[in-house]
Amino acid sequence: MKREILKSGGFFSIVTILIIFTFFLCGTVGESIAKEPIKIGLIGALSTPYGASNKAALDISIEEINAAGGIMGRPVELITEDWKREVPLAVAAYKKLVLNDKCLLVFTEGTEGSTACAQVASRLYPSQPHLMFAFWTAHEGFTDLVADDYDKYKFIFRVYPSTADTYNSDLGFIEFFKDTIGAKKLALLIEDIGWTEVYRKGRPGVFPTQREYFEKNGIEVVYYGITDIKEKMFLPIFEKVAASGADSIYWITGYTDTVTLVKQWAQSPAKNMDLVFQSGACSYAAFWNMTGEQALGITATWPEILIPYTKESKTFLEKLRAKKAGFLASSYGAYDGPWILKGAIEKAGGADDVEKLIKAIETGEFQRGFWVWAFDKRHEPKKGHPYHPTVLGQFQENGDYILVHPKVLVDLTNPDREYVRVKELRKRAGQ
Amino acid sequence: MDAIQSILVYTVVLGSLYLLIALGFSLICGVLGIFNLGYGATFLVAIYGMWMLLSTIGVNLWVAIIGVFILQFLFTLGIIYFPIVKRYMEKEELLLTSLLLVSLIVEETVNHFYPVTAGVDIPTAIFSHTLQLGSVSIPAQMLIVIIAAVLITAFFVYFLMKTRIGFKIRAISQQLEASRLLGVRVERVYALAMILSVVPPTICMLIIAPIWAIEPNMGHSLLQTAILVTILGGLGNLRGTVMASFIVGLIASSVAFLGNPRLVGMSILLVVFFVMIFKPQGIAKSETLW
Repeated sequence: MKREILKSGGFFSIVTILIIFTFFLCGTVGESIAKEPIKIGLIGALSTPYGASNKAALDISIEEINAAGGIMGRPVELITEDWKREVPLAVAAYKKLVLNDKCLLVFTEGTEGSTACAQVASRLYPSQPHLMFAFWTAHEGFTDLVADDYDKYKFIFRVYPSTADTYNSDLGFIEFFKDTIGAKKLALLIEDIGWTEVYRKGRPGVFPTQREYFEKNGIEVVYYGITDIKEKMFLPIFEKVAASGADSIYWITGYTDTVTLVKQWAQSPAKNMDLVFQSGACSYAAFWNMTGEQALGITATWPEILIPYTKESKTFLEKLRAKKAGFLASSYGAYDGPWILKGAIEKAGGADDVEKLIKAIETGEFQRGFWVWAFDKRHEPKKGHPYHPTVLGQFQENGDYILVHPKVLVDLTNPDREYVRVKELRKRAGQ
Repeated sequence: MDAIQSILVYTVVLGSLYLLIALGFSLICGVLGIFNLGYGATFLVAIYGMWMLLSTIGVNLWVAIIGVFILQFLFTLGIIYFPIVKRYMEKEELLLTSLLLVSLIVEETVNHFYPVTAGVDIPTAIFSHTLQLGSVSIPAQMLIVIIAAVLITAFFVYFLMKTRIGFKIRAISQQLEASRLLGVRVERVYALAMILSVVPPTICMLIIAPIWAIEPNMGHSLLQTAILVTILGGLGNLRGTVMASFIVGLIASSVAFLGNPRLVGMSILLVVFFVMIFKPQGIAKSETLW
């Protein structure tokens, strides 16, 4: 009987079936490997508005990637860790995300947190290659790591503005003061904290102090002050500023209580001077209400204004608001970051070779919700339209938050509105 | 000359503000002989209680103002005095820990319901323009602070010096056991002192809200101010507290206008530190309330 089967070609049939079955099995395994998720880690201070916002933006981004079929058929998974703004927790979280969870990309937050994580990451990288995207990390020195020792830190990219942006002529920051505001005599105040060090002390041979920078560019600094981040009584400062003859005030803030500051400015002798902030709660649209509608004329960097770069800009903002999360300077990198990874993986033909991914990011250009992301040798985002801008918004009548810089984005966002000097706004409001 | 004018004006402005902040804390220090570390929560209850009544419950401004005082009295008696102060009066470590804990719980609760991004704003501005005093401009609202500080202090002085209950309060602050033996119902007087203590900070917050920080952790810095002024004044002596408020105001305005505003906080701390070293009883003796 057995012989008959063999003779009738049954043997070959069985072998053929077995071969097909084996291929089928291999295919299934192959498919299951292909569907292994790509893991992205986030180390955020999740109980703060910033951390919560960054997580919400990443969630939205990853949901959209997965809804569009993932990255080369692989789903993307977000794993979050809370560092509670404590460096040892950030370091432990980083190790866990890379070694245990096998994250391909880790987002880190804060200058101190990111710097500590970069050191751990450089030791982990040879055995566990991965990528690191840093945001909420404005200190310009952070990316010196890549410039100083490329082989050790080549996997780090900053997806966030830098303190050096102020000095970058492509971003037209000084022109905003000179041409848009028309400032000639400036009161320059800087909060006394780590991230403002470059503005207060400069970097010899690299950056001047902010005071020197303005004066070199033809704006006289007639009042200069270093302020305490815990300050609550600003009236004496405004008294002195008003006496200095300044026509505009530029206050570099991040942690200063800008709500109190603005409330007191609006009822001080300096209330008709233009007031520009760098960073802080003034970036929120809610700042208008927080100050009891006294923020008329206030200008701030990274305002919570929708700039319609792409069709996804608007949908992202709507989704972010649905999650009751704030739209911050880090929201851009948090939303676009996973799409940069997607673009890099597709360009490199897979996620297995991290060196290829690094090259893909270094040589590629990526765009999803906002500007075009491309990176320079220091792995800083390239600056100036269509790349990473510095944007400024001004509170005008009825709390309208109007984009006022740069011109190309103003034309895109609110072409019929422009910067108005505070004195004029007060006049219009009958104040 | 301009600097001197500025210093004088701001000494009065800041002194009045510090007085309103510290008066209640000082009263509790003098009458009950305790450090009310829950005092920071009083400022939060004033601001966020007001906001809750206005925005969440939707009552009008005047009802909200009356409501916030009722809320303060309920809070200070129902959460601070009866469950904690009365129970742990003789157990200092438990008392201080519990008061601090209550303050932190209030802060966390406020932060949960009304985080800084909630846009909390109290519409109690009577004036929104600046007032020119010689060469100095101040928010006209600060004039209300000065008037309120004078009136409340005058009321406290009159109440303590001229009324029967005022005598009892002063008696307790000087001789607790003797007062008890003479029939003074000490617990009732304590409760009354607790109620009186929340009046100045509540009025203060309602007046300065249009020009001051409104954030869930605002209680810390205000408590610190109250403690510093009270220590400088002589732990519970109201006359000392009045003097200390204006001395601190003078230091703050002198450093701000003649030196660097950045050094105001440190200057005040240093002065209080040296007073503690060389005159630990403060400006006034602490055996009496006035």
